[in-house]
Amino acid sequence: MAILDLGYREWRGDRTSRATRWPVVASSSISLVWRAFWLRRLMIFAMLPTGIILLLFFLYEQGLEYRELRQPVAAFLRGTMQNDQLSRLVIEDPATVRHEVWSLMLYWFFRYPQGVLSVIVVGMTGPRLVSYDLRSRAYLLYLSRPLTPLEYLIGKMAVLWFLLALITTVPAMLVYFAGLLLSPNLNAFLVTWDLPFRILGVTAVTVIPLSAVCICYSSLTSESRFATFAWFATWILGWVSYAILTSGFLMRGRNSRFEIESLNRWRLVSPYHILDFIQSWIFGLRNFSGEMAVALALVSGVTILSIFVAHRRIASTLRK
Amino acid sequence: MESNSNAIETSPIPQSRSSQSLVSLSHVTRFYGTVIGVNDLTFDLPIGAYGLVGPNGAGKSTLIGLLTGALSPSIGSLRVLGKNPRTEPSVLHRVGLCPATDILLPNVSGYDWIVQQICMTGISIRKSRSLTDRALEAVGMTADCKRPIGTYSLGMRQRCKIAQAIAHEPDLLILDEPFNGLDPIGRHEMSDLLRRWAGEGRSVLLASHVLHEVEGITDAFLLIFGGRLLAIGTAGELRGMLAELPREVIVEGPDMPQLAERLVSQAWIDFVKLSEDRTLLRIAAREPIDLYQSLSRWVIEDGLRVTRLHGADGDLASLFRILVSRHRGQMKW
Amino acid sequence: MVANGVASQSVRQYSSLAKCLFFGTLGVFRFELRRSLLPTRLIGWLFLAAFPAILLGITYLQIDEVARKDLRPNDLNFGFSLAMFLLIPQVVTVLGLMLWATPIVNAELEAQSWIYSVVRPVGKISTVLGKYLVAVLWTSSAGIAAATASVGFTLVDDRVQLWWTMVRLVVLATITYGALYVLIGTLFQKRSMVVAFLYTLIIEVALSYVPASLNKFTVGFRLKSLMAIWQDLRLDAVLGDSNFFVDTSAQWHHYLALAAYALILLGVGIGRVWFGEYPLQPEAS
Repeated sequence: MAILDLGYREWRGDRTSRATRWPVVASSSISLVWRAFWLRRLMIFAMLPTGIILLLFFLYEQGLEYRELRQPVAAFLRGTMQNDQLSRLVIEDPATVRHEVWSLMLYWFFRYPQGVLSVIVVGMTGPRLVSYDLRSRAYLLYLSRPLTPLEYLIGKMAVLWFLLALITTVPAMLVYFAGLLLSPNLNAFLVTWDLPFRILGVTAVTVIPLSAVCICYSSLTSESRFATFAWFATWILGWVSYAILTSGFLMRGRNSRFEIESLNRWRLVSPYHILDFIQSWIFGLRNFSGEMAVALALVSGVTILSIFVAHRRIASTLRK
Repeated sequence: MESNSNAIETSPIPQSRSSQSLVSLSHVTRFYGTVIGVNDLTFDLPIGAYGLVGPNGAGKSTLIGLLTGALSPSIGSLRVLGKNPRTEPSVLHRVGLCPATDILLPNVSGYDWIVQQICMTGISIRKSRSLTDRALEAVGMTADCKRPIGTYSLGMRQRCKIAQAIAHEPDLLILDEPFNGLDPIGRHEMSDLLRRWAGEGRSVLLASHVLHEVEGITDAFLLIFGGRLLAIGTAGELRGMLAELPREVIVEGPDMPQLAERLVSQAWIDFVKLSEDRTLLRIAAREPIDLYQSLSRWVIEDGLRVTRLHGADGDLASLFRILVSRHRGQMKW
Repeated sequence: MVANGVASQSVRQYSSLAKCLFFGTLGVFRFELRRSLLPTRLIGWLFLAAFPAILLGITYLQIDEVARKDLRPNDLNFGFSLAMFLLIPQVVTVLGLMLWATPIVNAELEAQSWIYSVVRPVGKISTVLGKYLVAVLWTSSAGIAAATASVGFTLVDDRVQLWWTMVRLVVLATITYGALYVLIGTLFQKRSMVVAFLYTLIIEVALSYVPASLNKFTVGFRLKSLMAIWQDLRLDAVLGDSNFFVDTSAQWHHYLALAAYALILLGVGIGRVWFGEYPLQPEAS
């Protein structure tokens, strides 16, 4: 054998299939991030809202039998969700609105507590995932194996999928099945069988864009604080922009066309509100519309662009 | 020099060195949670150049952290140039440190970074600039110093680190693995620089896990292992210690069965093992000096043919192992 | 004689440390200021400076002629003052300081350069002070630029007055929030930005809408109160009992409170780095 061949020998043994390579990157990264003391505490804290939603499911289902238990659920729908009509129906004839009530409660779970917690969990772990590899040149260790930059990126994104699924999808599924078991009879399944699929759909539209954008930020810098900053700045600026552009403070008590029209239009500037908009459609709380198509296209576009940029960045470091 | 209550061997540092105390440690222990970084170190070094030698994880960086005030001892006390670096930080004016970790400031120039470092020792910006120029010249980095650090090779970054350590002309220069990343020419130049530094009467503490790199600069060593100080002394003294220690020797040649016959009757032999092809003999002797003298005599008297003779455990790791064994009482002095 | 000798030695030592602190802080300030002028960071500065102007510009264009005629001067003053306050002394300064003040220790640890500050006589304090000053300068300049660019898009009678209010608020906000974020950065060096985000979200944003006494201990309360005084906002008409949200009794209370916050928070942060220890080796991600 020529001595030059020594370092470049082709692997002659069996290789695992491509589909099983990115999970290796993911599992090693998960085991590393899981060592963080704060993350483990935060993940436990992020499970707490599950208790609230579980209690609401329990009260609703038991309210079918015991009228006095309907009041808290009705109050939740009237106060938090501002849905007077559904609140009234829960008091009068709760069995007829089971699907709507369950959907609304799961939507609340995804939108409010878990929506904010997801941003924090991703902000805590995501920015370091690629930037630290770039700083320490660890990506060369990964990519000197038969692993493509895309598989590497998917592996890194899967770390965030895992963490987000742990605080959103898994508790939502558990709550759903607990709701079935808490209902007086299993007929509840016939009415709500579609909800697990809706939960998966909501997970997909939340988790994939979030992880793609965060990994993109992380890949653009070797100093993770800039990626962390960019991540939080995206949410803060989006939120503030939406708040300013849709607020009625300028025309308090006036009948301006601006106030009404702008409410819908400016949703697209805020990642939080655009995801909320899509989630409400997936849970069946909103009809598909042209605006929904624009929102879906925008989220898909941002996701694809983020993956493209991150891929280019990783691939370009290999060419240097 | 005070004796170390826990060190196995302490030897006097050559008399030519000043008697003024460079560093003085009294029962210094440092914990990281439940892990011990350094354990009950007690020694006193006069002004001079020293090599701090030990394998990775021996506690060298922890000891350096303690000496520079970056870490405080969990137990015990220490003084550097007569002062406690934690409570009397003014002593740090007289200390320069080149740590083992790499600098990761990709977008700034080495020049700007060193000027900032020198300002922190209480020197004006103008003076810092001229000191930086001089230090960069000393390490051969003048031409590239204005480029961003991110474009430097590992060796260039190492030179920058040394430049910031020597620019304010400290009395004590502490270097943690300074040869890392340097090519052979760079190593030679660095050795020259450090030899000159020590030759000017200034103190150096040079941490390394490679004995021969340190030997080129100083003949005084501190051997550290597992957080404990095993020995202090010159290279000659340490080698002498090694020669006197029970040790294994391998002899090769066609007449090994005859040599084995000679050896088995000696009182100072622990064991003799002949290889299957009967050309290699492994000998464990309690009195190595007797072994070496007898071997040369038998070779002449019996005409034994010996093609190769070498220690089975002559490297630094073995010295550590032997010293640790002695320290634990598994091996007699 | 001996006592005199010891005293003069102490004086020499302290004067030497004071010199180290002065030149060290100056050196760090100069070094960090140069870094802040790198193209990527200048783009960040421009973005922060332009963001409020863009939003207010869009708002300005959206308000049609009918609405302009309908709006009363007090509504306009209230609305635009509040919008400017939210966007500039709150969002721009908080984001700028999250970028510059919060990672004050983390950035050094990531770059493995903290050890170099530690082995200088008062290098740790110089590093914190120098970086804090750059954070205040960088952020307040972005805030002032934002106020200058935005004020033209407001529909208030006295734009100069509004601009001057915002400039003063930006300076006070950066000094106080800067000290707060420095403290967070020294206490939680690993996840400082996440903690700063959570603190701002829970204490400075959520709590500021809660009518509780605790509200008065926030930086936002002091800044809002000063804005209400300087812009002569009549909040009772909007908020009912506005005492929980602003205190318009005396300006000097708020100056004193903000100065005390800044000094205490910065002092505790410096104490943390001086007496504490940070890991000298970076951890695996």
